[in-house]
Amino acid sequence: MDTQHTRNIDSTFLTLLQQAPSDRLKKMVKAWGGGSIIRKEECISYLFTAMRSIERLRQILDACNPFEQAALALIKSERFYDETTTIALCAATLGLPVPKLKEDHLASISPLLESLFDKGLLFIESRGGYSPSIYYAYGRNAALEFIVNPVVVSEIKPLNTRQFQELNVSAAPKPETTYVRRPQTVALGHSAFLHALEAAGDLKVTKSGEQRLTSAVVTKLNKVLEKQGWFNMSATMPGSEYDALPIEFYLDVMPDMGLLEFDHASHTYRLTEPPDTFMQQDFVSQTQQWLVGLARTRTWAEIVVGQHGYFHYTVMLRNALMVALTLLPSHEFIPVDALSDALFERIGERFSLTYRQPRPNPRTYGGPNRTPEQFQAELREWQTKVKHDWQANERAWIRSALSSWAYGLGLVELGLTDNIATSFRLTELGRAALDFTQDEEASGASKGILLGSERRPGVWVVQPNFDVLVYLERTTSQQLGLIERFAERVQVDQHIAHYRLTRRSIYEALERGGTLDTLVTELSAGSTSPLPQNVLRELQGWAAMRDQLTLIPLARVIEYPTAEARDEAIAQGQGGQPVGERFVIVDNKTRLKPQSFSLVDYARPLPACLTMNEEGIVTLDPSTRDLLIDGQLSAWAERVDALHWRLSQASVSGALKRGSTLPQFTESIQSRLKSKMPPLLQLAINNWAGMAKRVEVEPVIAIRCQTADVMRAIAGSVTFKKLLRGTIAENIALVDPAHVDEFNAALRKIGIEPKNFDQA
Amino acid sequence: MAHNPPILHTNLTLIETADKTLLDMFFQDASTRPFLVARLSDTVAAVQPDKFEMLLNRLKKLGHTPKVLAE
Repeated sequence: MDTQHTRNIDSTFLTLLQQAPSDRLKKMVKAWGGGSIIRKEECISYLFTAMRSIERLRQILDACNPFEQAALALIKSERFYDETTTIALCAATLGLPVPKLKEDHLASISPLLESLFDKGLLFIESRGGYSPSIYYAYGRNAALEFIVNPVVVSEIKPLNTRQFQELNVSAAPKPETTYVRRPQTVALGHSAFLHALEAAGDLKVTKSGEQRLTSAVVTKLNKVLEKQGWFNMSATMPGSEYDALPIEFYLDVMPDMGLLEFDHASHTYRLTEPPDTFMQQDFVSQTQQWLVGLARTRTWAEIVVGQHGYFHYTVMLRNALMVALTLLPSHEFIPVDALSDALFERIGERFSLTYRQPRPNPRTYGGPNRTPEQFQAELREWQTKVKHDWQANERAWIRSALSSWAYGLGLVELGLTDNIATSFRLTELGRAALDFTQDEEASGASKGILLGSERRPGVWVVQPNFDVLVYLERTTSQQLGLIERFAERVQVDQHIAHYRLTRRSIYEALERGGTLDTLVTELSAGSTSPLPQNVLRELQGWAAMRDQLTLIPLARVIEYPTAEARDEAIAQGQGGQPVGERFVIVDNKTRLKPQSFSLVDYARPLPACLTMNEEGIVTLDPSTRDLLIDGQLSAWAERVDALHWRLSQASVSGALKRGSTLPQFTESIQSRLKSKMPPLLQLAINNWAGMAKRVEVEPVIAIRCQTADVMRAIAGSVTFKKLLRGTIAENIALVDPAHVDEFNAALRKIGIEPKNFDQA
Repeated sequence: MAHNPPILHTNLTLIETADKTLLDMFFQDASTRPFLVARLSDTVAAVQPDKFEMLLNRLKKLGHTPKVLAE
């Protein structure tokens, strides 16, 4: 099944109407009171106008049956995986009659929402166009999106689950041992994980295309998590070897909740917002954000049920469980088995996590020859089997869901028997986060701390030694966010968290956009007593230290040829910060005065601006000079004047002695040459650098013939060849001095009297 | 040189100190000097391209808390 998202419709609305088939348009027209309009254009024109009538819209919405209203409310909430089967399953969990299906199994996709399409309240878009039905889009193997008019969305009543029949569950006796995670502890865990992700940097994935983090990234992440103290705050219950919220949970859910996004260009995941932004939300909003992600996550599962592990069925049941948790009768502990049984009552015969035999059908299954009694017996047998399977699979899954995310996110307090969750009750946070209406009083989340609407003083003690002791029970999420942002976490205990203000922690917070004023104001507001004077002084000192030194990446600097030219440009209106005698720093908001500039871009290879001659004289082209070249040349050569340097044995040896290397010379100087370096200079530099080439000198006798044909005859002769050292021109050859007498004798033998060069 | 047009240097990393002494110190320190390529004024210098992160880490190790202006 494809993920389908609800989104609002704007200009595409008319297009969707134009693409809708005529028979569907006629049904819509009828629903909107248009009578029997025949022509398609007339239908579209009528609907486009009629659908803007709020009054008519309200009438249509009021006339929707409870299932349709619940389906629209679920889609409006954007809290659930808005796909037809899940919507039907959630509606069935609410106790609503779900439209009869051909195959009486919710997993077989059916046109459950056809009536909403016919009323023009809901559309399906597939591949950018109108899709007449879900079947049609599936046939094209295309992703679907529900499209709903924003006017319709605004008029849909939010789902109030308190209006539905509660689940039929009885209270459990109060368990002896219970475990619950405070909202503050949960939020600190999230904060530590998010800070670890931020510190881990690029989250590269494997090349297999599964978007799984590489083992190197996972190793690094584990190290950072260790440093952040995340493992000390894990949601592992005593006696359990599993963390309720393992790393996989975070990494799989966060993309679906919009906190992590995948960059296809760099094959990396990255945080979509800084951890501070997440922590600025109240505890309820944070938890709801996790629930939205959890409702859509198909890559992580509480437990794998059955042989094949139908993850997309897991998502459906997870959504149904989220609805079921809003239908509990009281604040009492409920047996997990009772919740399982109650959910089975509502959806058990129409849904399973694994494959099972279809429900017996008197007409199509088993043949029509069975007696009614035989069919009833067959049906009872099927029902017994289904219930048995539910207890083996779905009940185990429900227990696992309650023990994992429901406990880990602080939604439930668990009652344990022999280290197994046997009962539970919703926490205040759970009731508030699962509530659809956002009604503070009705949800029971009237506590200002949960919603951040109440900030109490005295939530921490700031000590003169810079330690901050935080009373967790009293802190809001925003206060925790502040202290996490500005202080280093030392230790978290059940009731108190220990932080320390350090120069580094203040620096990092200021670098992330925090201000000293915010820190001092908020720290004072939450403190049991006025901040110690020495702490205040030191905080101001640390903040001031940061102003001593500034790094400006990607700056723009105008370099003028003279101080006069710079001053004239400023006088003529060139904005920016004058620096030194000839420079002006211009930020991105400052306009450049229209003028011709030579451009040097330091994000690109720097321009070729040098020429060299054989004598080692380096000449700089001033029109393309960059700010690096002067220093680089001075490191290797002696300056002659503003535009000339000289490479010499002393200058090159000096550079090498100061720690420079020949590859650095190649990178910084040679790469900037406009033309090739003269080979003789290259040879000289190599020699000065100790990479001398050997040159051997030995005396030889040169013989020169008057014509080349004489030399060819001599050089080709067996007699002379052994006496020659080689030829260096067509009429000149070299003879070893030791053989010169023998050579002369051989010449005389062929009638040639050798002469000296000056005689010839 | 007076006849040449001004040069616009872009994507350049700069380091700016509150006083001259601090920048002098960075030019004298063997661990920071290689990152600095040109001094534009008493308190401003250009940084070797692509060495921003290395210089930032080096300065932090030396105990400084440089303010990094948003790009």
